Amino acid sequence: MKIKQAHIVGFGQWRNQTFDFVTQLQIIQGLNESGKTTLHQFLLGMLFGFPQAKGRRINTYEPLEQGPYGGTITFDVAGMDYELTRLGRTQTTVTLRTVATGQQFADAEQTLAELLGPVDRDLYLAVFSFDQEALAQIFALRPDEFAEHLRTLATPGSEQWLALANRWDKEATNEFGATKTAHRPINEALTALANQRTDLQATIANRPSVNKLESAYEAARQQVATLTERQSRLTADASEQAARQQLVPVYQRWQQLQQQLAHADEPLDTALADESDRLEAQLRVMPDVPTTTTVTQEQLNQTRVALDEFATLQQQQRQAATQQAQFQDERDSLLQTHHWQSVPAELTPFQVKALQTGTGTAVAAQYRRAGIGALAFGVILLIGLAIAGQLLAGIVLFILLAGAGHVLYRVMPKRVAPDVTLPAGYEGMTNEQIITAQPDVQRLHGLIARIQELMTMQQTVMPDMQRAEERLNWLGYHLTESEYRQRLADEQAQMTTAGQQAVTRAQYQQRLLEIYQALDVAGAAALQARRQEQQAILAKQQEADLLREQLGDADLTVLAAASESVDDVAPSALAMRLQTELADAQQQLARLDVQRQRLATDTTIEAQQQALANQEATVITDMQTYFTNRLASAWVNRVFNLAIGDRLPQLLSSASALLARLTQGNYTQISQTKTLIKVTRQDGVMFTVTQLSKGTAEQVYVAMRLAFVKLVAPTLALPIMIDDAFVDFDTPRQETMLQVLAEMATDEQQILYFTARRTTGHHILDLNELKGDK
Amino acid sequence: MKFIHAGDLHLGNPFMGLTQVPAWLKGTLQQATETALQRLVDDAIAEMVDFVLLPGDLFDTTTPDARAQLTLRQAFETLRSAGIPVYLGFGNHDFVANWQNLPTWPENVTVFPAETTTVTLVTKAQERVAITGFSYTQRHINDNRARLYPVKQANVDYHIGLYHGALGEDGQGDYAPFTLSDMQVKHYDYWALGHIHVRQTLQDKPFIGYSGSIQGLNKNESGPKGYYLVTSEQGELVPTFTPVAPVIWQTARVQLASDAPMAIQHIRQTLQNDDDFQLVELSVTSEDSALLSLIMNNQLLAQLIAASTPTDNFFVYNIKLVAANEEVSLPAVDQQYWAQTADDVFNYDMLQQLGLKQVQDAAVLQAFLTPAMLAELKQAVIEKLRLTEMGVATDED
Repeated sequence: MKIKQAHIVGFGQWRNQTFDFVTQLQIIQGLNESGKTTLHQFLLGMLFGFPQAKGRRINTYEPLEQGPYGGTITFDVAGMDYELTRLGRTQTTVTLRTVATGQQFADAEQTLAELLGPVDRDLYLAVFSFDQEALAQIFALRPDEFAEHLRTLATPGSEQWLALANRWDKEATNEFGATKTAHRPINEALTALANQRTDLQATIANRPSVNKLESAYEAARQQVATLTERQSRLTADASEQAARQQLVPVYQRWQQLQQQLAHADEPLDTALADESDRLEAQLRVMPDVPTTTTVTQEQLNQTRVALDEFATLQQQQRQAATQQAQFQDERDSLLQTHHWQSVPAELTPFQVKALQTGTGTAVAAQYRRAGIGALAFGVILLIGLAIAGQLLAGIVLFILLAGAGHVLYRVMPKRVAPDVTLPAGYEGMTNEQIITAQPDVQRLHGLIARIQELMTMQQTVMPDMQRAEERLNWLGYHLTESEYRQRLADEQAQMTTAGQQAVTRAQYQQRLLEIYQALDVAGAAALQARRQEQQAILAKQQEADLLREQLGDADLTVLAAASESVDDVAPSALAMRLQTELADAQQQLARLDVQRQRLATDTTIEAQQQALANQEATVITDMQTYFTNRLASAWVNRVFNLAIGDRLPQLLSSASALLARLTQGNYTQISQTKTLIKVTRQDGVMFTVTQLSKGTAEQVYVAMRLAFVKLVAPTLALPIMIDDAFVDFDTPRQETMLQVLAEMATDEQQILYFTARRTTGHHILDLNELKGDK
Repeated sequence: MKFIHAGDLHLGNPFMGLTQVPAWLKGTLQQATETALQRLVDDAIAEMVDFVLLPGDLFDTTTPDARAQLTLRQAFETLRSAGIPVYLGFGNHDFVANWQNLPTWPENVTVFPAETTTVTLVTKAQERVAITGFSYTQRHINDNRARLYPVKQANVDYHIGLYHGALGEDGQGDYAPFTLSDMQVKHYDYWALGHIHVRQTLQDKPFIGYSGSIQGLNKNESGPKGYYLVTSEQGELVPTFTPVAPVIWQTARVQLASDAPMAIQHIRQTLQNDDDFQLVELSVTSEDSALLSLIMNNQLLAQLIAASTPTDNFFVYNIKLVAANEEVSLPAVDQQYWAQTADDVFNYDMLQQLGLKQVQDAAVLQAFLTPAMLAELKQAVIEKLRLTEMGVATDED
């Protein structure tokens, strides 16, 4: 490829400037600040794209006046002219067209890339571009690095690749150390893996096998069963013994009772005893009637008499009362008939007469009659009382009445005034009436007298009655006759009964004595005592029977023996030991059961295995990465060494010729031994690159670079751009350089040589003139 | 007649190759082999099979985890209550070191002893069946046991061979090496093979083949896993594969273009399915350098795992980068240099030299000293170089 023409629209200090280039050695000269580098960078930008990113170190060559950016170059590839336009730094519009046809390519970049071949910017700079800065860097390298750099010249990009390979190696070895004591990540991972394996083994080893666990479980179960059986037998024995122990006191007591009972007296004849009890009871309930009652039969007889008397008197009295009542009724009716309040006095015949004729004598007659009446009455009384036995009373009464009668007969009529005044009561009545009424009046007075008699009689009877009553009082007060009779009868009965009772009592007591004798007791108290004794014995017997029942079918001889010895009732040590053993065995069984169940569900081993597998996979993957890096590095090293090794000799022979030219024959050969580049001086002395002077080393460098361009020219044909690269060559060297370049430049190999120095001849593009022209 | 041929149960084994297992996934994985076994038992009962054949590697070790033993015993117990006998032999992983240590199996289980033995049974349909098998009593058996098997008995309807081993020459090979012809001459109606975890048919009629494991435990045992339900059809025993594994290893390819959250969403949508749970190794192609960087540094995987939820029906355990185009040119220098030096780099010695010699762990060593691992490493290196060339940051800094 050859660049024929460049037209800058705006780039750095250039604006609307066209440059024409020849196809061989084109010298572009200009003083400092003339825009050489700018043009150089423009051309690079056109070929490989403008700098996109701004940065401190990146000069983007923005036009100073902020104008349009970019331009056009015309170049020739394989005989065909192309025109490439790039406008705008970012978002560049790129157009490419063939000059001949004007045909524009659809994808300018793509077509350009194809035209440029495998060369990108980096490769171009590495191979075809020589600029001051880059060279300064290279020459600033340490000698050994420089030497190494020279080697890589044969293979462009190998330097970066080898650097990369180095880095990969470093990265890899950071992860995995190849020594025994390394502790880098992968080493650690491997250790962890080993530990995990050990842990897993341990866990598996600790895990019981199914069979072992099953048999262990079975054994434990058996053990528990055996121990339980032993224990139950032991407790059975123990309870048996305890039961027996409990019976011992029973037995002892029973024995005691038996002995006591053996010594007991003969039993009471209960029949007799009961009989005595009955008799005693009966005796007790008998009324406490003393044998000599206060009431005698005599008394009773007398009382009977008195009662009869009383009855008679009462009868009399009753009769009298009845009669009296009759009389009174009659009197009342008479009174009522005559409407009298009270009975008027009877008119004496005197009075009657008086009435008829007059009164007076009537009254006296009256008195006399009264006196007679009284007397008569007294006689009656006397008789009556004499009958009644109260002769004295009767006499007294008679006397009294007689006296009264006397008075009446004798005295009273004297007192009566021969008055014919009517006694009261006759008011309102006619004399006729009075006279007709006189029988009634007489009757009345008779009644009244009768009544009075009766009353008196009754009164007289009273004391007798009272006496009779007094004699009856011991039976009761104010009772009726029937009641008295009843009571008397009762008393009689009682007396009779008492008599009978006394007899019975005596009988009883007699019998009791007999019984007591028979029972050989002194009396009731003694019998009671005997009875109680008997009770006690009975109780003992009952108790003994109960105890015997309690003893049941226990072996009596054993009990007898047991009761002899003093047994220790505390739980035996054997039982306790057995209990502990059993508890342990049950615990063991439970543990095994849990283990068994867990076995079926415990996934720890599987989880551990998976974790182990994962760790294994991780380690393998990491080591794969490690090996990838290291193998890549190894391969790159080998490849590039091989390539270099292959190319270098070829390169070196070509470079030797150039070196000879450049050093004007001072150094004649560049060679390689192993990986060292050696330079032979004309006198045959070999120097390593590190031993050369700086200037000579630079020349070696240039020689090799140019040799390489020549080498790849068949495949990579691009213009060489040298941007004031050899400033520190002295003039002869510079001139020699130019000559060599001129020799190298052909129609196929364009060389654009930017310089500040004035040169002569050849094709010179003077930028100052160009600018001056503007 | 119907029976089940299931092999290599590997009960209680962990899943290999998973660097991270989120908490919600732990239970599913841990129960996976158990679930598969339970499904097998349920099917056996539902299908009313006449018997179940288990040709070895019921467990992964000679000292299996007690829980695994109990699980198996429980399964056998369930079969017993359904009246289904089990015939099993122990394989190279669970070989019988001490017959006394075996757990007591229920009475429907017949264990083949060390010597090749034949048992007979009569099915419910009055078919007479003979089964010949043996158990491993050590880790390796070098001799061909198939030769010891008797020829098909005269008075049986079917004669079945139970065999745990791999194809090989007598004397060479560690797993009772046999050849197909050794089996063919016995004229058995069916050979129930065990040992290979991937289903494989050596011969169709009469059937000689591996049923594979019932639950895949690493990424090499991918796809549906299960057992053979074998039925008699016109005198021939024909197996039908029945998947039972609840977790299936899968690979998936996806093209990613956009930023990480979108990418994750895209992946999740693509992988969500209605079937059994999937463990997915995702191969990703992308041009996006940011995404590529995330992938190379395992950051995309971390984000994807963080975005996983317990209701997911899948889990991505690894993301691999693959180039969109098969042709990957290595950078900077001529391809021949890369090709020339490749073998010097990708070999066991180099691995040892670079640090493998420090590793004592047997499993890790075994993982690396395989051609498959070398190839994987080479692929990874190529990918790394390619991405570096593209300018993708591949370092973890």
